[in-house]
Amino acid sequence: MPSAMASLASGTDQVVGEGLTFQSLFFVGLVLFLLTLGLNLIGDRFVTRVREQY
Amino acid sequence: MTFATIGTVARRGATGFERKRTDVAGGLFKAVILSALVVSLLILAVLLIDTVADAWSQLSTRAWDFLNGSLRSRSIDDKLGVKQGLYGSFWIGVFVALTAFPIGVGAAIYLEEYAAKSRLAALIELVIRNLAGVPSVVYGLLGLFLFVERSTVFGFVGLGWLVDATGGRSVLSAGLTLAVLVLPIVIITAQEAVRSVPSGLKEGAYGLGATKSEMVWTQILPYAAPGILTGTLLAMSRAIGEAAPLILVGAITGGLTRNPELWDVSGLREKFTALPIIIVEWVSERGRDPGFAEAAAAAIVVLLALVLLLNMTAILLRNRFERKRG
Repeated sequence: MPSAMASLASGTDQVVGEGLTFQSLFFVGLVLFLLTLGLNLIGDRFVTRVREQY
Repeated sequence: MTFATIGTVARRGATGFERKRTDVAGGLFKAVILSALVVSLLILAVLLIDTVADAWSQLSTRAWDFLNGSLRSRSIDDKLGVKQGLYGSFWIGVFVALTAFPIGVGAAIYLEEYAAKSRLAALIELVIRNLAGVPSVVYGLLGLFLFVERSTVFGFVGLGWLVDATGGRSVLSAGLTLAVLVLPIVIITAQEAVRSVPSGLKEGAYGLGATKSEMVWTQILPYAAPGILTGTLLAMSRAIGEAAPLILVGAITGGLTRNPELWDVSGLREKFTALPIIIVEWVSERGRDPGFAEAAAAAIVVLLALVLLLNMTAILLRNRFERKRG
């Protein structure tokens, strides 16, 4: 996904203003962010559960 | 359980109560983890040797010219070089140090020493740890929205004055974006360093009548300095190596008219490039002009040297401060 975004952004001058490319960039970014947030939450829950056993 | 049994068997064998048994599983385990280490080091060594070998034709004959030259359309140009990239990377480092360091250390001290241990504080910690793991392009988008384009995204209106202040696609924007990128890392490492201050030191300071802020300045900061500095310098070397956010913030390789001196502050709000971007550009150019493969390798060596220099400074500073602490 990051590479898709980079290729969206580079090479074109469309990453300007309010265009569709511009908005879709941010949508992909949001998806990526939520993905990592979800993974982190799962990881954190796991870590706290394991830690409590001590 | 297995570890305990292996231990007792070995000990009995050594004192001669039982016939000595060779520890096959333990030996195998040791061999496996050792080979894991060797393999990772080998991969690193092969990469390094390959890159330096490619870069040799540039670096051995015209190292100084390469450092001082600018971007060119042909690889056999006498003036080809990475000065513009060095300029960008240098100032990105400066802005990261100037912004991420004070904000990060301040936030860490607040979280560790001042903030009450509440659910909110725990949530903030979680968010910071999450932010440290977010892909760097997402920070590039943040930079694009905040510092580069006047825009509206998902109904949020950007701050026009910030865009005016940074001049849009400029080193200033890139530096601030990467500062935001490494901020969570700085906070986490600084928190770790602050947490490691012995409570005896803090209580001693209070016992002598110090206020909380005096305690922070005279005890916590000096004691935590090596950890904080190491963390900040490592974060800086990460910022210098990033390419993806810079692409979004608008680093370019074509149309750079100037090749400013390193300390020339007049170029800070103008179009810019940085070492990782130059590497990407030259690698993609090598099909058209094979000489760019060597130029890219040379640029990689320059970037590696820069990062290595930062990391070595981190280690030296840490050793120095730790000796002082002794």
